Amino acid sequence: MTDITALSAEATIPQKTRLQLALRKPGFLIGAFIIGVSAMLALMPGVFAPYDPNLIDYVAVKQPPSWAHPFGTDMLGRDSLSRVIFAYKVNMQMAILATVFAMTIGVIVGALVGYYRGFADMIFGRVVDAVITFPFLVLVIAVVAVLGPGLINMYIAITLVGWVYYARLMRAEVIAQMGNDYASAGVVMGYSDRRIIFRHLLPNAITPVIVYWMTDMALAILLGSSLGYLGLGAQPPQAEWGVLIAEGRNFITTAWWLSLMPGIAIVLTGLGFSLLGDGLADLLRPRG
Amino acid sequence: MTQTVMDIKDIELEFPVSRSLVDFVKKRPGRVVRALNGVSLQLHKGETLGVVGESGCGKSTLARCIVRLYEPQNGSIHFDGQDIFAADAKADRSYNRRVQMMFQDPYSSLNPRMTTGQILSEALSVHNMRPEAEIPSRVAELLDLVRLPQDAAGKLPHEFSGGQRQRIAIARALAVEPEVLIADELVSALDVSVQAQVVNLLLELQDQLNLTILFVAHDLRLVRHVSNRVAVIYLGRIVEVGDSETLFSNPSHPYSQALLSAAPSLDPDDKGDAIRLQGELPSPLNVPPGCPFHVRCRHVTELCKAKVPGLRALSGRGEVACHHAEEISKHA
Repeated sequence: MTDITALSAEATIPQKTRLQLALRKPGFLIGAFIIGVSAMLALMPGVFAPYDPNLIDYVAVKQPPSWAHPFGTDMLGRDSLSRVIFAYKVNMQMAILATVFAMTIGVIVGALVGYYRGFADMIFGRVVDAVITFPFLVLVIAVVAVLGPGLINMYIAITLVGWVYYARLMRAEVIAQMGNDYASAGVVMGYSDRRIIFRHLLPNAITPVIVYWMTDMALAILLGSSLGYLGLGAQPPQAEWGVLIAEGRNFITTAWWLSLMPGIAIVLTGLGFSLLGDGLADLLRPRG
Repeated sequence: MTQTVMDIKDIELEFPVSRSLVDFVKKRPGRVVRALNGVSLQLHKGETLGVVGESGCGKSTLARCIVRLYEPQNGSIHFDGQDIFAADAKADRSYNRRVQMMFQDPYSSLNPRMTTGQILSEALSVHNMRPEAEIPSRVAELLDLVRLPQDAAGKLPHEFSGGQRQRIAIARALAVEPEVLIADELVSALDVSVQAQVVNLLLELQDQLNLTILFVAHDLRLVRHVSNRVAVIYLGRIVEVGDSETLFSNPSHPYSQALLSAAPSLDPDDKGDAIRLQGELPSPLNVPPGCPFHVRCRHVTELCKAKVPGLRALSGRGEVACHHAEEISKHA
């Protein structure tokens, strides 16, 4: 029996932690940096913004970028840089609030229908078909039209439509995970369904959902600012990137910086979330 | 003297095959895979019963029925006198404590996100095997029992080899102190040297803990080594059951004879008089009428094509499902 003990104490090769590996990927680092900076700007815009975003100065309207106003000023003389920075607060909030509820609902519903299948799964399939038939934006605009414009209603609208995408992803992943014997082992061990679904299947099935979540946060910012642009989301004079772009639209030939700067902010944050999601996919994948 | 702990009676299980659009248009009836066609088997207390057969003959399906992963359409399984598929029994999770299963693939049977310690203590706490405070020491005991080092408790499954993972699976099954263990191809995914370790460990634990084991495998020499009795399955039917030594040295059913002679021998002088079966294993989608083996059997008669032979006791041997068992075994 000594031979068995000897064999079990196999030499383990020192392995780099997953964090160490992820930190060597430039994409992940850049994404983490962008989102880190964005989060800081969102949490304390007052510290970084040079002016009050709503300070009107009729003496300095539509000034091009200069050392005093790096992003120029708008038609009311408000400092464009300060408005873009203060918009981080609203837009980052959008990225989170428009997605977390959809994700939570989607993950739970998806896990349940994936585990139990049957009639509920059939109904779920029809609901998914119905929702994904419509373009996302059209459906959200329809819901906002019913509820009325404004940020809160926009979050409700995006959640009502968006959970379906999470649930679909989660369902497929749970079904795939159930092909593994550890799920059967849970049944054989006499574990409750709740334990098998939430303790065993969910942690193994959630990785793609988290990666999708990162992308979805980028999409939520894009969608939120689209609605802001259309006048259905954040309302002026609130500084929000979509609203800022809409305000600059009338002066696009004379004061191009008014629309360009918030546009760049949208692109950068979107890129940051995408890169971060990509890096997280590697970081969260369980080892074989 | 021999006490039956589990009585499997005539279980039948079919899986529907999904119909294609062409089937639907041509109005072909839905087809089914007949995985088990009336399997009857008794498991005696303290024994190791080997179950052998070709791929796809229903060995694993039978194992999964016993632990209630599948529910047979017909027939019954009684454990300790109680029907395990009765409505009140299904709600009772203590059956799942008393009868445990170990799976073939050690790479998928452990949750990749739980450490060994978590896997074992979960089993202990769900079934209230020990008070909360004693769980860590019991986990240590279990690791000792399957001869894993103590630091294994903090490691994730990917840090172990196949054989070590299989021992974690054994420890998980033993954590709930079962009476019956179902080993479904327990070692077929492992290297030969590791197979021996795991099997010997299992046999030792059986002695220590007085376990009853159903050992499903396709490795005949291994089954001969571990089992007291052996059942041979062919196309979802048991064709022969008997004492392991008798069955291996002197099989009665023509299929058992062919199966055993197909196993490679280690004796260099032993060459070439293996019985070669004609034809292919029939598809379980389309089981032949009469004796399911008649299309490949050397001793086939008209009776075999018409009538399904039942299992019957043969003097001095086990039970055989063959109309002509007496003559055949006399010639063999």
